[in-house]
Amino acid sequence: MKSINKVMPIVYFFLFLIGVEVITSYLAIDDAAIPSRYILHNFYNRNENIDTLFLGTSHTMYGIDPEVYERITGNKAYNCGTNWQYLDGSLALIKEADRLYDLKQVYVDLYFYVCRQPNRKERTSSDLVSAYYISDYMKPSSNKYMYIFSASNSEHYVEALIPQRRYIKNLADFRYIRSNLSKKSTENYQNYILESEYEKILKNGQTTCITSLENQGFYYEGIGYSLYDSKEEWNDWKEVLNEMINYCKEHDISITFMALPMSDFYIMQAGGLKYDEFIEEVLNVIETSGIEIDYWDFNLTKTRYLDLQEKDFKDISHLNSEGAKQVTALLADLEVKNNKEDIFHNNYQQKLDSEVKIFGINLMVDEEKNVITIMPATNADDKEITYKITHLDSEIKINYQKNASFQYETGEKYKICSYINDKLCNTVWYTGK
Amino acid sequence: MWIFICLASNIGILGLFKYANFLLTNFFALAQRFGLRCIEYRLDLLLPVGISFYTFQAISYTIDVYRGEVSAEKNILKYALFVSFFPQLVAGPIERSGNLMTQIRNIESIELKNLQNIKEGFMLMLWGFFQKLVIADRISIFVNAIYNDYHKYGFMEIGLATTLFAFQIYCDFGGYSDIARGAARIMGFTLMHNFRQPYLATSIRDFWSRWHISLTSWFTDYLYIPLGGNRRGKGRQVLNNFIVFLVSGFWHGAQWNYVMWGFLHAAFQTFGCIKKALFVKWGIFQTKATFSTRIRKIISTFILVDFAWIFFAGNGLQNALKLLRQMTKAFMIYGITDLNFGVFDWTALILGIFILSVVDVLHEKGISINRFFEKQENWFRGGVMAALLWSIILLGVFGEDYTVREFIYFQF
Repeated sequence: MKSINKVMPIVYFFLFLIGVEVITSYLAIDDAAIPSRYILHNFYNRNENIDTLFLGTSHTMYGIDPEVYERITGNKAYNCGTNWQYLDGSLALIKEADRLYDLKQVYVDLYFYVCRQPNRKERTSSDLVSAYYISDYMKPSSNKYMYIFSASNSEHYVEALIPQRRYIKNLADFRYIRSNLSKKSTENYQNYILESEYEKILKNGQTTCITSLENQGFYYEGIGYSLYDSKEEWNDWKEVLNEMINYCKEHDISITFMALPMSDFYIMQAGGLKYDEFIEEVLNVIETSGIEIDYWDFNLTKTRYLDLQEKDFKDISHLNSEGAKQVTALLADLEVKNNKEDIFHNNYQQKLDSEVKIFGINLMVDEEKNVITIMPATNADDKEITYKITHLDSEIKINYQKNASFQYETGEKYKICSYINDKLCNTVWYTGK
Repeated sequence: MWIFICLASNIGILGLFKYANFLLTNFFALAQRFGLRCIEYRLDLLLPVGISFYTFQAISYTIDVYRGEVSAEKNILKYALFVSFFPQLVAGPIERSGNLMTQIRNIESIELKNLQNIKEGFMLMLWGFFQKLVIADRISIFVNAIYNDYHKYGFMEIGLATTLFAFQIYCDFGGYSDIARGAARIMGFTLMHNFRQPYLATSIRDFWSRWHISLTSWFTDYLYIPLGGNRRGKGRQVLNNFIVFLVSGFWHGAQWNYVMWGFLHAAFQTFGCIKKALFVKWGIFQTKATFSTRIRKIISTFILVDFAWIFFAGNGLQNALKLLRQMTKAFMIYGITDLNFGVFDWTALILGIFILSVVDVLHEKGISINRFFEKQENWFRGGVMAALLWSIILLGVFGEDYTVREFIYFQF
């Protein structure tokens, strides 16, 4: 009795610790719109095995349709792509899937920008947001804690282990708490359903999306991401890639690296031919590992096998459900038939050489002067390019020149057609801001 | 002879590391003023952490042995443990041989797995971390922002920052002392109290019997009393008082602002003594010990102490004087909205200071928090510990979003 009395305060101490943990995280964390909450919930609560796991960033979330894959290959698949997933996050999820399921195959998407991942020991709070998308929703296991301790330096451990600390300032805002409570009291939240008019997270992990770039075109306001500034940025990523290869080898899991298709406009914006250097780095890592591993870069697919149009894209770098169906079907076919030599160009240069195009246009908008400057992403000769800009019934035609620009009116819709030697190559609709 | 060698070596090491550059700087400045040209030279030395604390501890042992108050320790390991006892090594309390050395000598009898000691020690450490991470470091965000850009602010903002600095330094230093005492307690050692509700003091003399008690008692025993204390007349008492406070200021740091801080405390205390003597003599202001009298005295003492803190916190004498000038120059409210110190921080801070005040008032009334806890039911004890731990984790100022702040007294 005396010894029970001695231990009871410790029991109460832990009970209170858990109680406060539950209450503060419920009140402070607003995660109703965080996709990984739903994706990882479904990942942990499957009734069937995961034979094949797809990992990567939002490109994977939107770009892989497990249903199509299952139909063609007969394997049970799960799409565990999450926003901005670093490769060490993918590795943690491979380990977790290996712990829970009889995992046979993984596909890991290598999106060039995420491969510029900041060194794990130098990540800042903002770099870690995407790591928290995973660690916050992993169930307690050695994999989760190993991931937390390896994803950053000790300065961030408390924030990673106790997520509500990152949101704690919200507890001083009653409106936030009220709005959070009302979101959490909905049936959808409680049943782990994330659904909007255009997007939905399915039980197999895929995020479906029905919007497309049709009647919008490939354009970007400003300058997009760059492939890399210095190749040293790739060091940490390559290290994790090796860890991943070794883990899969040791656990008898077949691994395939892939790059899901982005629009060529997006790649051209990021540096165009520099993309070949990225491919080379990936192939080097695979080669030095001494293991036979496939790298399927769908950005190199020949048009006759995969001809993605504006209607297949959600935005310039993500596929929508239509695009996902086509790419997944091709991927599954490749797995079954193993005929990659015929499907892919050897490199991006080869793909560019196959056709002269205007892939899209960068619009530099000066909102003060109401002037738009058009910068094309193209492999055509500058002198061959002309534009036709239509607004209502009026038509402006300008020949390409560096910094070609035109005056616009706020709220008005413009159709910008780009031509190479008078052949229409690209159409963009833009509403003036 | 041996006592002088011992003292000279201890003070010599302290002087070399801490004061040599200060003396050289002032020497060269003086030489320049008199038109003497000399090549300026500085020692490139790294100041050992906590040197002032363990040097004073070593000196106290030497004098105590010399006076025959304790016997000399023949076991060098035990002596080494006394001088370098890790919980209080870097910022005190400055232990005396009568307390810590006695416990070290009886180290074999210390029960390491004593649950009571572990609970008490854990609670003390939690309380210390709460003071440091939730209160002191949160205040430092505000105080540093105001002090570093003081020319943008006026009396109200600098005044508020200075008031908060009083709590910052109390929670920073008091927090460290509690962590040290807690860590020692877990191992079965009992360290002396270093603070006893200092801001409930009713006079400057009273304040010094509550603030950094181990240093005050050190100076009393090894400097004030050997100088004659109050036994050689009023004039000598005042002089001794000034000597002790100036040395105390100098002990805190080799900068003139610390000397000024010590001088102010000596002046306040002397003025208090003179005022009291005159009032007794003339029979005026014979106040009764009422609640309102006590409140008035507490507030006036706090104001004086807080005023002196400006020199402590001011980062050099010139800077402290500029702060004061700015306070007198600009009486308007400039606003403190752009300091990245929002509603959450204010709420956490006010709550923290409220809890601190309640604990101090209870202690002042003679209610021991430990004993109070022991009497409570299990759920309450477990709950309070959990709440304290959670408040440190959730409200504590640490991690990437905040600049890591060392304990202020580590620099001494």
